[in-house]
Amino acid sequence: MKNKLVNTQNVKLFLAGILELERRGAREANMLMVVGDAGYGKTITVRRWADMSDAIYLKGRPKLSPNQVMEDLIWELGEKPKHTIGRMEKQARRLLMASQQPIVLDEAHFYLTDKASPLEMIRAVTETSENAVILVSTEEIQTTIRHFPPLWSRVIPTVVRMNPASLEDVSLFCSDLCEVTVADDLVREIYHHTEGRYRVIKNAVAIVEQFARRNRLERVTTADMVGEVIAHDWRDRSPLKVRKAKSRAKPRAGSV
Amino acid sequence: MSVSRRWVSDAVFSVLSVDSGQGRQGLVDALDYTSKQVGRGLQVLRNRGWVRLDGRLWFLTKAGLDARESGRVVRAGGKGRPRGIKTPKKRTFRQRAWAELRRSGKVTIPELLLVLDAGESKRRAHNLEEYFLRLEQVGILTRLRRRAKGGPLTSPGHVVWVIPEDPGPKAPIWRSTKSIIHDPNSGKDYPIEGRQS
Repeated sequence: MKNKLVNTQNVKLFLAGILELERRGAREANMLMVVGDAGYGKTITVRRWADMSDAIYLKGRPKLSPNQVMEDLIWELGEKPKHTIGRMEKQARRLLMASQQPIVLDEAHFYLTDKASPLEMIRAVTETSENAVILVSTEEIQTTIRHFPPLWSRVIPTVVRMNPASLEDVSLFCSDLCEVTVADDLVREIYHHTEGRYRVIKNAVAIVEQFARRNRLERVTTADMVGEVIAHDWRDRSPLKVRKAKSRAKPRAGSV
Repeated sequence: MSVSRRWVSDAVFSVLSVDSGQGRQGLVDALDYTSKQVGRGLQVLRNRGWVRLDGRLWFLTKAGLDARESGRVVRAGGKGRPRGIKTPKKRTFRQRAWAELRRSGKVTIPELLLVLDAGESKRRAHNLEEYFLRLEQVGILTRLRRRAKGGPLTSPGHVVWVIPEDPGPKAPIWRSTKSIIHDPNSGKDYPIEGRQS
């Protein structure tokens, strides 16, 4: 299987959100929210962008305090953190002004604990230098952050929502990553079983490729793989098999 | 005959004095160089602070006199052997890989190449393999016991690399000629044959 990032709809949505953040009118609104459930390509997309833009990447964890946030930030900026929170705040401001790097906060919901004081600290040190802050989390963060108007007002209206993969995305995965040709009917079968989860799609593509190698096929169709396990249900790990053509009248419960 | 200007500087340097200045034409006549060559030579000496211009006459400075008496000459080339460790100014591939390794916590080389947009490059993969093996030798990186699935059908899988104790955001530098790994975060050096005590 080829090792490359596929330019899915979610990637395009994310880049559009970044563009919106860069072109914002209100300078103090320097935060962008990226939300989505696990398995929809959120983390890999953000990490790829963090590499391209040399962003500071911080990961939230339980019981995060403003002190810890400052220490993590200053450590990432390449200096030893000073001893008091006041001095760390000045130190972080100075370093951020010099580097102008964007900041990615993964698991951003942890920055909203303790009356959002960790995120308030980030806001305070990025206010002057207007560094972009990308908040990555699940959908629930939108509800939580609204309770803090000073922070909520600094989030730009565009929210990047990572959606399940579409049929076009699955087709793109198969054409970009698979070393053999995947017929359209098998693409639809993969789409049906994987419910738009990118990890499961990638596994399915790998399974198709291995099947093709074992059977020396250059093109794989549904008929070739009838009865073969194509994926595993992400809930209970039960195997999902390729169905015969005439038994595909009813869609699976929960499928898009 | 084309002459390196620094050699011209040397010649000019040898004829100037502290007390009596010389004009440019005088130097041209004395040294058999063109006016342009003499001019460039004087500029080099002026940049070093060894000559000064007073009106239209060139004089040797005190620093220039001391330099001449101590046997200093003006030659082309660098300032001698490199001193100190130079950290690359631009983000190198290894620095990007180190940053991504810290972001993800644990990673395989194919995953790194995917994020760094070098998934198909064998050269990049080999680069990282060599680098990580050296970091493992000095204890900066370690590998998990279990491998990640992937690769050809008969492959045992990909090694999963982990940083046991994060030294900092700056990537360790492998100085192959000295067989050491330099950690720019702490300034420490780790000899590759063994770990630093």
